[in-house]
Amino acid sequence: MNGWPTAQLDAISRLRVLAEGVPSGALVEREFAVPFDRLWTFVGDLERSVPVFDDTVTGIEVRRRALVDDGAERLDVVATTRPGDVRVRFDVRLEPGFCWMVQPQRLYVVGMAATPIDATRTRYAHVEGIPRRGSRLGRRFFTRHVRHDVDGIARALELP
Amino acid sequence: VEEFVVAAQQGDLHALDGLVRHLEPRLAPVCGAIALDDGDDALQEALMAVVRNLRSLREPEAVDAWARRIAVREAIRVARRRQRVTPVADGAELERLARAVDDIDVAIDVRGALAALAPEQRAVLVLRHVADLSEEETAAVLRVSTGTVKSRAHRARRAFIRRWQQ
Repeated sequence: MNGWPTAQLDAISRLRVLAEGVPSGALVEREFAVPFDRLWTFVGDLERSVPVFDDTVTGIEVRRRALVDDGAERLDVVATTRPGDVRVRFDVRLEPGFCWMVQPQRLYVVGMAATPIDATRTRYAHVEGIPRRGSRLGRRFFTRHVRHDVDGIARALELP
Repeated sequence: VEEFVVAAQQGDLHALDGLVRHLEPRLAPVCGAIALDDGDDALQEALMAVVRNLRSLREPEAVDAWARRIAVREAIRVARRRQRVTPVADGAELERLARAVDDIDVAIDVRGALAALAPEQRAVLVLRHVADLSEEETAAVLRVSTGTVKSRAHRARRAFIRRWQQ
């Protein structure tokens, strides 16, 4: 309705909302001193980025990608993890500033989001967890792991 | 949307994302008009509460109305927490003008006018004039009597007009 104030949900807020659906998951946010485009060009290229920032993943293979109605992409992805070269499938929704990677059997979920703060700074959020109640791995485990991933992104972007 | 709700209740996280995308444009005007500058925070808090409480929703077909109730409650809470609320004064001439104006959408500075109201009054206006709810439906959402809805709406409209005249 014209003239009436409205509200917006940016990508970071969307990830905070979805993280409520992952009770054991951990959400870590950080401000990066890089422009949004530079950060997301790296993070959004999953085949390149994930094996670099997450040392439990040795490879990402995008087996299929398709555009969905609202302009986002839907990807069928297989991650090879260590130890043991275990292959794990993910159903991914990817759009500029937002990525939601769901393992179809609800074994794991990864969410990544970024919004520009200004021309040179970007807020980044990252969540990982097991979307099942009663998961033995608790939030403390995932917090450590996600912090490690976010540190890996900072290193890849050559940030201190 | 009912399929999204049922699947999300069963743990489908893509369905949960779809449900959030469905609710977002429906709750955004409610949160924006009640919490104003804190509308974005209110929308986030409302959707977080929706996700947290989704398993308690027994009627998936009623998700829009259920989520709107949550959004109104969260937006009022955020507005109360963050903003100093100025009570609205009464006046005989405003009374007269209120009777003359049926459509508050003609107000030029809606945001400025809303800012002069208490969050509960904004809630009445947004439910009646943005969400197109009846007085009875508005009363049910806010858990107040229809008499309270009427008096809040009346005072809110008068404040709108006063602002409009400035």
